[in-house]
Amino acid sequence: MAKPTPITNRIRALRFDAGEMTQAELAEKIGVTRQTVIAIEQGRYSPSLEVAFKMARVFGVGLEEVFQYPQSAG
Amino acid sequence: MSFQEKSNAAMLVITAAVYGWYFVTSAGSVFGGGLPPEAALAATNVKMLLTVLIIVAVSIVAHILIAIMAPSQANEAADERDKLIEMRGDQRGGFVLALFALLAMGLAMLGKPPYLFANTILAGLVAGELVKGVSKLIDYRRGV
Repeated sequence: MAKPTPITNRIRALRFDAGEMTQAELAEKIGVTRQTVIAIEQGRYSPSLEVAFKMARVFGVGLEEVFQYPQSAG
Repeated sequence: MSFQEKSNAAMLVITAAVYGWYFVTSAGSVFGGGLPPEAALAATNVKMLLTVLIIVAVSIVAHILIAIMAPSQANEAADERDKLIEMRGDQRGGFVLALFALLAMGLAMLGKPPYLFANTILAGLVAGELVKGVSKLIDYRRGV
């Protein structure tokens, strides 16, 4: 099993707040496949900084509102 | 499942089937030492070229079928996750290929007939592709 990333995210909640945006719509806006959005949402893939910033820009929030890195993770 | 993932699964099955057939049908008659080296080289040369043609033809048909089944994904370009998964597969497959290259080098140093080098290198390419395909399959499912 791949080592799970300590990075958590609020993408699902942010999509819901953004008029129930679908994963496919978000994927199209940030230039990745829907499967990649699913993997990011489920914590199976940590995106590049560029994709992370694009995602934050789509939701109109700061990066740390989308992704969180726990203090205990070092 | 994305187009890239389906494509990888299809290529994995096609490669395993075509080269499985090649090595199984060559094992007794060619590698078993039943033929003189020149005849063995000629026999495997023809079959090797045939496998390339079969792989190309079958993979074109498979990709057309995949595109027909999910037209919306057909023009989907590989994104950063696909590229990362591809690189991880290349790394693992490359390691296996290197082992077979060393084996082929050893056979050459021992003065073995050329058809054995050719087939050892082919086996390395096939094994490398299979390891890469399995690596990608696992990475797509489990995450990277």
